[in-house]
Amino acid sequence: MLEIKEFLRSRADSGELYYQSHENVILRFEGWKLKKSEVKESAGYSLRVQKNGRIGFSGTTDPNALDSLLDKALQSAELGEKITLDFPGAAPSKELELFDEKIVNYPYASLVALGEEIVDKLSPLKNECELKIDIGLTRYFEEFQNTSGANFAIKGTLFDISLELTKMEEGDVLIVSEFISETHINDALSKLPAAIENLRKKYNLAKNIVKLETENLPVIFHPDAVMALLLPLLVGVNGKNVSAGASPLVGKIDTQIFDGKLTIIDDGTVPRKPGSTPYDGEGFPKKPITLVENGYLRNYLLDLLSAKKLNMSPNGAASRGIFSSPAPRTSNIIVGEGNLSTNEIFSAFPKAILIEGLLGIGQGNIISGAFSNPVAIGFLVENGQILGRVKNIAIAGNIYECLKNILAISKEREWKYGAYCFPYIMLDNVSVTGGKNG
Amino acid sequence: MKDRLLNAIKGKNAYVEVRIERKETSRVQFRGRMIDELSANTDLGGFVRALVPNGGWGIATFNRIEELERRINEAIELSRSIIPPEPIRLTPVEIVQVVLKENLKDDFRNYSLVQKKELIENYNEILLGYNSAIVDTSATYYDSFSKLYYANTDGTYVEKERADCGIMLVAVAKQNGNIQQAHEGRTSRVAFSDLKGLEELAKGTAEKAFQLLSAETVKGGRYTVVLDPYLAGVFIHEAFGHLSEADHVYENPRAMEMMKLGKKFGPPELNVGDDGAIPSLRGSIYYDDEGTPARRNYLIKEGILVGRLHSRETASKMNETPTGNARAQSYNHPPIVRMTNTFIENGNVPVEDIFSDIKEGIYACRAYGGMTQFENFSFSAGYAYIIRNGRVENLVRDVVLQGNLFETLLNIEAIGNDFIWLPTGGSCGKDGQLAPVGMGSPHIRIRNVLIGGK
Repeated sequence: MLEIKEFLRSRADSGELYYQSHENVILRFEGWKLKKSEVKESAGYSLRVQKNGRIGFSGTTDPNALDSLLDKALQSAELGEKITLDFPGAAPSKELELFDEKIVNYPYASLVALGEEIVDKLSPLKNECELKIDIGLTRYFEEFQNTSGANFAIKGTLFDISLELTKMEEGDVLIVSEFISETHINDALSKLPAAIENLRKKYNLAKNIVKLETENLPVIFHPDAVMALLLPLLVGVNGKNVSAGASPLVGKIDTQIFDGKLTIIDDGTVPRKPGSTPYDGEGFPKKPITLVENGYLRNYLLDLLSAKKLNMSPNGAASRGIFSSPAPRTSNIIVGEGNLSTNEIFSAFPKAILIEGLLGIGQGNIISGAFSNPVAIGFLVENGQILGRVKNIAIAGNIYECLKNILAISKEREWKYGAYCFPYIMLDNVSVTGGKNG
Repeated sequence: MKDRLLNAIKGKNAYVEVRIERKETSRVQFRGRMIDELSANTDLGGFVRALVPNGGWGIATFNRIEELERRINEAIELSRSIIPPEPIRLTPVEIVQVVLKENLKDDFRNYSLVQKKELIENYNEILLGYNSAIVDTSATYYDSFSKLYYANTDGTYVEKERADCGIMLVAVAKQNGNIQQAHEGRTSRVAFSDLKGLEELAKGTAEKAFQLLSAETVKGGRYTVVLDPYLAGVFIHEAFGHLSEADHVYENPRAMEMMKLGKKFGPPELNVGDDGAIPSLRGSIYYDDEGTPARRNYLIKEGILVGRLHSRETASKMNETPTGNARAQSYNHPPIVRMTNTFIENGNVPVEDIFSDIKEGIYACRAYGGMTQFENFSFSAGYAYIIRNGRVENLVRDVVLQGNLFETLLNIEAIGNDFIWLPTGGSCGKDGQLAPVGMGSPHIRIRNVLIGGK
């Protein structure tokens, strides 16, 4: 990469130069066959500068436009916000094993064979449903320098597999899916048999549709659906929303906001996980951030700007891209384990609703804590056994009320979407509508 | 560029298409009293898609335009590596060679960043100054100007521009831990001046956020619902439009059966279409990303399913005509079937009559967004009112409409006579790609809609 001070040629008082490149191979299987293959390469630079106490930003993917990158960032700084950020100096970080040489060298033909193997395993279902598989392989590289001495170069890899079965009948469409995302190919491949088995199991259970006689039942959120409960919180702890005064969590540090069973950590330092990174987007070494500890709010996610506005210290939660200025963002979100097994949770009540998939997560006024979602995949659980799928129901509530009283959190946790480690969560204060008419 | 692209793909024993795109954007965003972002970006890249006889789709995307020839060969190699059981065919379309300029009446590129900042700062001050309950705002001005070059081995060459400018306003009101927000936006492809003089819009946005503080959460249940044109536009896009995209059905015999042309979908008053050729609307494309001319496509006529949206591939597979709906977000993505400007045609019921005989219902206004999973949809109203005995009464919040498309369309009871194309900017996400879309509708009334809540 270019040397930052040389690049700025004293035209700015301070700055950060960031380079990012991605190479992806993506295979799409559709209609039980390989349909398309994509090779993607993208690379670009972004520059944040400070001049006369103001901040400017510009990004480009045009490798021949680096001179205008500086000009544009300086123009932006003429009008930019008047605030001084103290860029960090050099600091060591933890080795996180995010790069897998095997992924880089994985033969294209083996990717095709892998997809065909999955197709083969699920082919007994060929007459009743459709299958879509995406297999993606990513190699990325990031480089960063600021004028205070912080710098990093990170290389990483990702191996993603997504599986989706769709069954259509007049009046009923069933879509079940599984997703694996790992930095190492062996981690992904070792999870594949279980993912295929889960998909098949979920699909078979869902084929049986049962009627919900009463809506007044406890709700068990499967790890796949826990995001509906956590997203309002993650928006609420984002330093950008806190410093703007828009979060309900302003001034709530060290107060109890949730049930004592709930602990949530943002941990970007878990080795070999896609949400991990040794440094944040502003050059701070990554460290675990406890967001909620036994129900008590402990920290926000802060970048330099939000920390400055709040008169707090940045905690390494900045994320940046080629076209986006640094801003706080989650890394890996880990919910602490509970004290009941999933079997105990399933049998805790004579009847319960298990929710595995929701539509419209993130829609609406979520910063207020409100959620309201149609259930895409939900099951009726009776005496610890999944009886069948319930249709046409919806859940609603507000996390700042619902999570004050949690019936149970499971001991078992599952990594979802590469960066979320979630347990099962059981609540009895979520509003369920629609079942009786379904 | 024309010769460069056509020469690069000449003499290949394959169908090859290339796209080069250069996009310049600027953005000024206030968050509260501070500038949150003020940036100017450049995005340049290329896309190649190849299909060898009896092969699959091979795709390569890149930033270094000088690598074009190498990328073409790479895409051809990938295409060769795939042997689909049935060959992929593309329905032929008219070969065109066109150069289209964006018809700008008041070009935002003639305004300085200072002027853009002043415009949005003024609206931000109005939001913040409404009253002390407004604790936070987000006020964004953005513009983008793209130049796109497209060529394929059939001989088609399309060079076109795309200009967009717009504002987005969000007001956040807070009282005793209760947080509510309201948002509004305006976009234009024609004139920077379209974004001037919107002080009342800004004031109304803050006012709505403030009013929502004292609104009750809606009680869950089934209601007769009146959708304002904004939400009706999102509804027809989300709940029906996506199902009419042929790529959702063309590989799926059962889905094809469910979406069989000639099937009754709604009442005889219901006419739905999509049109990417109307000048200067948000979803207007004139030519799609396969070089097919955009046109008006009726999807539902007098309640009957009469058409769907196609790429050249889906049209061939279903033995129908390409409709000009293959769109890609940018050079970084392949074209997929998607909407342009989707509309419910004007009906004949005067708006006031739509409410008249509703005993208890919901008047749902504006949209936070929506999501659909084949026949099941969910979309959130920005705000809503209770209707009692034909009268629009108190404001309610957290209104999320959900249901099954097939049932819901058949439950449309009235279509108003007040059609508008929405001036707000909408973007639609599908398969990881965002695309600007237009939506239009009059007020509509639907019975028996499920609304989640307490």
